Amino acid sequence: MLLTMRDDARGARRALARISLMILLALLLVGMLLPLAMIGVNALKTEDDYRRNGPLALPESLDLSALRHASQSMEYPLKLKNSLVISAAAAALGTALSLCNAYALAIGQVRGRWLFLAAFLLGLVLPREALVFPLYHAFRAVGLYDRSAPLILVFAALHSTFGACLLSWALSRFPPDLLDAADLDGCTRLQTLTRVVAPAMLPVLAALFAFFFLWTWNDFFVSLIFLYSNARQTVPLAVVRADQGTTMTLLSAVAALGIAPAVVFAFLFQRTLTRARMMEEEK
Amino acid sequence: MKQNRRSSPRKGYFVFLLPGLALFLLVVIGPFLVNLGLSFTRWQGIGAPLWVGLANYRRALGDELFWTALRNNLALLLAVALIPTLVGLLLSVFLFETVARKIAPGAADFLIAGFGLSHILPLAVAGVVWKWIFQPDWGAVNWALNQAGLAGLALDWLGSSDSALGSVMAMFLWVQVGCPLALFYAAQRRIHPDLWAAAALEGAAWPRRFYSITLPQIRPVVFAALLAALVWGMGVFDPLFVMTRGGPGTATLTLSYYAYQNFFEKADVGYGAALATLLAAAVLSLGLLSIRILRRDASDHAR
Repeated sequence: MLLTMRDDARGARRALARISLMILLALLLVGMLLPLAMIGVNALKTEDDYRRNGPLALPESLDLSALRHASQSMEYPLKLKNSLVISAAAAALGTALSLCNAYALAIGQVRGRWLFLAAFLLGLVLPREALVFPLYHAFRAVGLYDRSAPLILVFAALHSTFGACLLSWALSRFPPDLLDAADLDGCTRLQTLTRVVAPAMLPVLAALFAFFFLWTWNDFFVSLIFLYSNARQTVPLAVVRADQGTTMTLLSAVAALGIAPAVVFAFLFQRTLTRARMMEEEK
Repeated sequence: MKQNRRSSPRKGYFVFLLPGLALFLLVVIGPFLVNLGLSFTRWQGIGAPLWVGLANYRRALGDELFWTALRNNLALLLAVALIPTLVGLLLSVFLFETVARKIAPGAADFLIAGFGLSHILPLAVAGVVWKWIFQPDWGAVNWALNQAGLAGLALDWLGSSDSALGSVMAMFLWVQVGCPLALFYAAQRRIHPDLWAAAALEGAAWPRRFYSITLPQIRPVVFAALLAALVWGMGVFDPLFVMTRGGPGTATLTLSYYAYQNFFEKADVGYGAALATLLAAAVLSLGLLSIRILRRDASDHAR
């Protein structure tokens, strides 16, 4: 009897501790999401409403004029298109280069592969600051400055350092039987790559594409240096450029337009990343 | 890399390395070597560079701004790497052992997604968000202080040299903390269930479980994440460009921003190249350390 009472008391105390910890976690989550929520809410207000009720109040009435104004002054659709083209192209090219590099290094075991891998690893950790000025100067000299195509090549090269290292590791565990079977069937090296290796690695390649896409989309430093004209700039560049001497509601509208695509991509890519992780866990 | 045991000889693969290697040499190795060469010159970006030997490096060692920038870099590493790793580690253990096991696995997943949302934004946009929050007249922080009757505590957060670095650090904490949390949580899910069963049989309490199971099992992930954050955190630029431009004065100047200023604002390319090379040297020593640790870890696993 006494024992069960003591157990009950202990159980109650434990439940109380758990509930208070959950409340603490919920508060922490609210704190983490508050900056984004405030941006969203205040992008839908009039400046008058903001000054009267402050940043934490809901809008008195929904007002889209700040968003419309921000979108117009940033030329948002154009910047979205620029960002999409650059990110998709850089991610696709970066993934393809990573796969070819890793195919030669891990499956072909080309001579000096450790040296090449070490070089790629070096390229991965080198700060961009130690590369950009000579590139910038060379691009200006040969008329490649302020264009998207050369910038895409730069991103693809930078991304492929990571991709080569990661895929080399993944391909080093590729089943040799499959490769032998492909050889027996008379596949060329290229056919083995496109018909055997690439399809088997598809979830990992998709995850790599997703990462490269997000990294390119989120870049500011490299695009700041290589894109100058308004018509070629990307979303983060446009957001920062629009962030000068405006009203609080217009500023939150500008920030909201910078946040929205990133959130959309995160949701889109979540499944891709989960699938790659599941494949990894199956091994 | 393990050897793939294969019957046929391996020939004809090198051609697959060529495009990637050529682009890598053009975009990474070539520019890095040119930058290194430029660091031994005085050059304004036009005309011929003038060879000055080690003068730029000597100048950096005597330059108060260089040391200020380095100090700021190290302070920012706290907010970019060390504190998020520590907080992420503790929070992930709590989420894994208590929330997911004893309350609801869905709640843990939801919390991790929520904490990670700030990490996926472009850093420059995160900078714009926090500049808005810290705005001195109408920003959320000062507004809340005024409402709470604490108007005396209101500051020009980014505009005064006492608070600027701390405010930028707050932004970085907000951006960073979700990433190690998600990584460490995923790593704990991969721990073999037998280990937990054994711990339960022995009746091991929380601190002991943490030191003898969790930490050794997820150690490679923790090291890799920490070193990646340290390497990445040495080169932070975007939010500083957006929020403070390295100021006020030199309060938030970093090596990356100082190099950028010399390249693109002061047209002192030689000095900028030397600063960038010093930054690369700092990052590379961190990188070499990471390779050594990861290698040792890999050989531990092979045994």
